This record gives sequence, C-alpha cells and structure tokens, in this order.
Amino acid sequence: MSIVELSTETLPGVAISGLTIAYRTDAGELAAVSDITLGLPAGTITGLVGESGSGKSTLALSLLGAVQKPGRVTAGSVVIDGIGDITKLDEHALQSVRGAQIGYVFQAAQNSLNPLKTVGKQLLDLGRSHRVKDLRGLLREAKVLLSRMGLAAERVLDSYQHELSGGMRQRVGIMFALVLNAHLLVLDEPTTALDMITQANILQIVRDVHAERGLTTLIVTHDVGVVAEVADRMAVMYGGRVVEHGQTMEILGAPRHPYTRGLISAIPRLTGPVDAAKPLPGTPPTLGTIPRTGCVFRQRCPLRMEICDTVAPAMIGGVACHAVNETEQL
Amino acid sequence: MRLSVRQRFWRGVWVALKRRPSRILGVIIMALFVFMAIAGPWFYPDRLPYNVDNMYAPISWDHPLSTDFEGVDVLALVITGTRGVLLVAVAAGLVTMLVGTAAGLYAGYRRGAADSVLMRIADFALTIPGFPLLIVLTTAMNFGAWWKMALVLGLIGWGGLARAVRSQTLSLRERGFIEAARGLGLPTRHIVTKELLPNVAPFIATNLLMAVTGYIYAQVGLYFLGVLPLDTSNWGVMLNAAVFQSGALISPDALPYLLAPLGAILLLTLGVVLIVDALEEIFNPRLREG
Repeated sequence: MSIVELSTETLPGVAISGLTIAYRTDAGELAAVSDITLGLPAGTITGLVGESGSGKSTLALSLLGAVQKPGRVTAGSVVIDGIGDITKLDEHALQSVRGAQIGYVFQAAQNSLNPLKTVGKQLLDLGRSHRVKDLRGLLREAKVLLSRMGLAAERVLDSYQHELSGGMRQRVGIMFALVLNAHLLVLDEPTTALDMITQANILQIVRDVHAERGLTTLIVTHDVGVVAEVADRMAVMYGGRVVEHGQTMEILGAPRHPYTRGLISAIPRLTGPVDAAKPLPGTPPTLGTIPRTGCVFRQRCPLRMEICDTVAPAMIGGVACHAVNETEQL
Repeated sequence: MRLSVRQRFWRGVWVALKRRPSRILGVIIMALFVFMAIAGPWFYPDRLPYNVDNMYAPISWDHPLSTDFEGVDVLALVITGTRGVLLVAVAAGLVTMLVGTAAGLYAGYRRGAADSVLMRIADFALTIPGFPLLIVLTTAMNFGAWWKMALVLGLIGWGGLARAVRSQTLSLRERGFIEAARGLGLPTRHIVTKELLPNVAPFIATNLLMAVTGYIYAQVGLYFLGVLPLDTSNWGVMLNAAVFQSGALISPDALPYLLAPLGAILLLTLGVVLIVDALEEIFNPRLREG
C-alpha cells in the first residue's frame, strides 16, 4: 500500500467561478453551463446531481479542460490548487496535467478500455506518455491499487476488456485515474449500468480510496442515493445552473429549493404506498429550450412568482430561488 | 501456461484459419503465388526455350498447359509472368494504403476544413472512371517501368480506402476508450497511431486486398488491350497474344494458351477473397480466441 502524506498542501481544492460553457449550434451559441460558482474544498467528496442534460457532465469535463468542440468556455475560471486556472492552459500543458494530477473516470467507464489491448499494455502506454521512468514501479502501484479494490491484479493486467465484467472495468478505470498519483478525482456516473451489489462495492471503494490517498473527489450522478451514500457536500444542477449546494446531510434533511424538494420526494420508498413518491411534473429542458432569462426552473415550479420570469435568482446562502429567499428573509 | 501477446496473436491466427478450411486453402494459394513471383524466374532462362515445330502441343507431362504460338511452354509463361503482375499490384497497393490511410485518419480525426478538402479530393478520385483514364494516360506517359505503373494505379485507387478509414475513424473517435485516452492525457499522436489505427487495421487490410485484385485486373487489362508495350512477361501479354495472334476464340487448339492466364488470375483472386474472410477474426481479440 502506498502511503500518501496527508498534509494539507498536497490536497488540491477547486474553485469554479462564473463558469459559462456554450455549444455552438445552428440555433446560435447555447449555454449548457451558465454562470456557475462552486467550490470543491480540499479533501472532501462532493456529489453533483441533476437530470440528464442538466450540464453536469459538461461541468465535470471542464475540470479537465476537455470540453469538446463545438463547445467552449465563454466566461469564468476553474482554478485548481497547484495547477492554476485550467481554462487558460494550452493543449500541451493540459495533456501533462490530465491523468497525472487530475484523475478522471469517464461516464460508461465500462467502454473506456481499448478493445484490442490488454489492460497492462494500456497501463504501459499511459506511463510512457507521461514519461514515467520507473515502469516497474508503475506496474507495482497498479497492482497495489487493483488488489486494494479486490481484484486479482496479475490476471486483470493480462486481460482484454471483454474478459472483464462491468464492475471490474469500473475498478480498472479508477485504477487508471489514480495510478499516476492524482489527487483530484472526478467520477462521471461511476455506478450507472452496474447491479446494486457492485454499485455498493464501487462506492465503498471510492470512499476508502478517497480517505486513504487523501483525495479531493467529485462524483457526478443522477442518483441522489449515491450522493447520500458517499458525499460530504452536494450540488444540485438544473438547466445548466447550480440551484442549491451545501452539506449533503443538511440538504437531504431539509431541501430548500423547489427542484431539490421535487427530486427527493420523487424517490420511491422501500415501504409504504408506491404513490407516496411524487414525480416532478413536466420535462427537463434541453439545450435549446432552457429559458434565456429569468429562473430556469420556473415552468415546473410550484412556487412560481412574477419576478421569476425576468430575473435569474442569485445564489444566496446556498440556494438560488426568489421564493425561498423571500420566505427565509421574513 | 501464460503466453506472450505475440504468441497469443499467432495462435489466434492459426485458430481463425482452422475454423474454416477454405481459409487455409487461401493461404496456400497466396503462398504459391508469392513463391512463383519470387523464385519463379530463377527456374527458367531469360529467353524461354521455344520450338516452332511444337506449336499448341497437346497437353502432356512435358507441357501440362500446352504451348503457345512459337512452342513455348505455357506453364513457364504463367510462372515467369507472376512476378511482374504481383510486383505492380503490391506496390500500387502500398501507395493506396499509405495515401488512403493517412488521408482517412487525418480527415476523420481532425474533421472540419481539412476533412472537407480531403474528402472532396477523394470523391474526385472516386468519380473518375479509372480504367479509361489509365488508357488515356498510357498515351501520355511511358508505363514501361513497373514503379510508374504502380504509382499511377495506387494514386487513382485510394479514394475508396480513404472513405472507409474516415468513416471508421469518425465512429471510433467518439467511443469511450478514445475519450478516456484523451482524459488520461495521452498525446494526440499516440491516440491516432496506437489507439485508433489498430482498430481500423482490419478495414484497411480488407479494402487493401480488394484494391490489389482490382490493380491486377487493371494492369492485365491494359496489356490485353495492347496499349502497353508487349515486350515483358505478363499474364496480360499472354491473353493479348492468345486472342489477337493465335485466335484462341475460334481455334480450339490455342484454348489452353488463353485459359491458363485467366485461370491464374481467377485462382489469385480466390486466394485473396478467402484470406480477407479470415482477417476480421484475426484482428479482433474477442473473435480470435473463441
């Protein structure tokens, strides 16, 4: 087991401020992420939840500086301690940072392995690309990580993608993200398409590895249950904006934003009548139908007011909602 | 027992071949032709022995495929003609492979303006009717040297391969493992040559082998039509002489002289097709081991 010094200097925090990412489409430049300000405190696990198309993957990719064309960062910055503003780095600098300082486990990590190469071969490719001198040491580190996650390291390194199960591939993805000793870990939908037991396993691993290696972790998911399970802090996204963020336990215990409330009351319980779970009325906006002015959630909001049509609510005390602010100020 | 990656590959090749005996036949046919091309001319003198008293000899052990209009053994002509045919076809194939793969990979991975320009050129190369163009070119250029012919054939035929490689690249570049490679900070050169290229390889190989058979037809066709100088040994030269000098179409005596080179072309094409069938299984580790 590699011993990672738990000094605060090595823990990178992330400060996202005023970040706007727009995609150029036939209908003009449309913002998938607008004016997001969010901090990932060093050493914490932050959960980012939202429906499909809410911009959470785009936001996560911006931590890598890997927003794909035709998308681009139009405003704001992503400052990572020890690296600087990632939106200002050139492609060459980004390549050396990716994998080495920022570990990223992609959505559908089950498909993140080259089908024609064994895992070990891909590991060596990674090492050579990052000019690792000690490739034996890299292999040793990979074996430690794989064994730590309950895999037979020798066999996994010798396997092709199709010889591994979904949960194993997910763990191999985490190994790739961490093997170069990254301290910022981003997991995009780490439990999607896995069975419940494997999901629980993966989350346990994420939690353990996070603690042992002293990471700053961001988990992107649409599953509030995942966040409740592992995250210290959470942020809720809707229509490209963060509508509420704060301590996970506080938000789940007493959600304030009407969207967060809707999300949580839509979760079916194990016991009791099935229709106790209330689905949110309406459908989430797509990139083209996100309202340009006013509150993005107003069309589905039970607390809609006049001001919501014209003025986008500011983030005050961890929640961006006119109605909530009004009642809380009283 | 653990096998190295290379050992695994060759075992996979053997498994893929064994699965259908026709593939082994394909390999044997190709090996035969390659052997004839390399070693064939060593077995015969530069000027093949002729005997004008023994024209169109009946089929016998001495002349298993009869003789031509001056009493030269037809089998010897087929064997000594192989080198010229294969040399041009393989060299043209290499030109096609280099140009087509480079253009297809670059266009598919970069997209944008470079893609548009390269693909318009490829479309242009595809729409020109190749064979008539070749006939026109023979009047302007001297195709006597094999490499000139190979260069022209290869440069006319790269459009199809470029298109196939590009569409495959466009599909692959969106796949998870390419995205992951970018996310892990692997340089672009590595992604294109080490991640994309091996996955496109079966398409390149398949398209290439089919292109090579096309080059064999084109080249033999040019000799047959007599638009190229007939002073070399080539199956096309044989066909030309059989039809236009020996009248093989009306005289049954000369029929073996006509059928021998035709049979050689047919057999070679068959060999290529049978091997192409095995390629996908050889390149894909998932199919390889089963």
